Amino acid sequence: MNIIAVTACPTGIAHTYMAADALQKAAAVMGLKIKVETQGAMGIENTLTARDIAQADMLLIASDIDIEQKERFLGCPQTKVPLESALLDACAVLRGLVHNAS
Amino acid sequence: MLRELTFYTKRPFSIIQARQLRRLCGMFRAKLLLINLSRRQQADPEQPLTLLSLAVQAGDLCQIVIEGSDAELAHMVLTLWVGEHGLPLSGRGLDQPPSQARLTQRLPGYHCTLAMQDEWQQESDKDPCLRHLIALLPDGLCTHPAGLLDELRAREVISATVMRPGLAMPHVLSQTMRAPCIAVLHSQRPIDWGSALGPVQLMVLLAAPAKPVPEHLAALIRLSRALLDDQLCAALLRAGSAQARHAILTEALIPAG
Repeated sequence: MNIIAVTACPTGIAHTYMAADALQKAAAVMGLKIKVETQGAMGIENTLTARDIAQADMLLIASDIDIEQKERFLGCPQTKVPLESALLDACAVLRGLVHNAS
Repeated sequence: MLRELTFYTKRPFSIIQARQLRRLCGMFRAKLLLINLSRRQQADPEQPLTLLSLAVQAGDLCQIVIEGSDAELAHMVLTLWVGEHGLPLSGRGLDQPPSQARLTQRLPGYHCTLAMQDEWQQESDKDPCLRHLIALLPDGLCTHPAGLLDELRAREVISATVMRPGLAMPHVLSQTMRAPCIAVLHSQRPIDWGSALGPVQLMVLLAAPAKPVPEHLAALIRLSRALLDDQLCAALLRAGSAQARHAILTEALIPAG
């Protein structure tokens, strides 16, 4: 399964990057393919391209706020979770995602 | 029983130190672990060769973790050993913490003041803690403390800033700040931070100007990411002195390697 994710938080110096790392770590453990875009104080990094979005099976938004440029993801199945749950147990978040998709 | 010893090494670890440490370990029932926090690696001192794989260089920050019924005794003996081979960070004094020089050297021009207070025992509520953290900021760094408090409160309303079990990191980019600053408060009693991750004992305030320069921002982001590292975060929560916490946070702020 091919997952794309966006992380964002109100301040953009902590949770955004921690959640991105946590999701990547969990995906590696579970053998899932993931690309995580961070929308933090450094701006948008590791940007999800049109191709990434077209090839993705699922979009995960881990954020407590509205994300930027969300019109890009129209038509892509999405799940939104609070940032804390990605930090708390990223594996559980990804498992939920896989479960929803199947 | 759990004890820790955090120290800067004076010289690289050779097979001689590794053997000494193994011999000392053999005297106690307690289980020991040596962590090289500068390299984020750990080893069992009973295996001298794996200890060498930590590649401890002079000036690296290390922590020895001692766990077991005779940890107190082992701690006393190992304190002497550490005193011989390194610079122990057990003091409360923060006028000139040894890690300040390292921060200045590795991040020149980076004004990140680390204020600290230990063993804070008052109400176990979030709001007084936020106030206290702000009060720890050096004079003149924050132009409007009440405004900063409001911004931190507003951030906490969106979601509680507990990063790891036991550790809260309220953070804000604020116009009231003149330079980035980190303040650290350690409480003897667990404090309810309103998070599913449970109460916290260690609180780290990150406050930076509204438009920080990229290198300052990068250091703060490095710190957040470093706290995801199980070894570093556990070492920080375990650290028993303000000097040790200061040193570990410094290690998290500076570029790795």
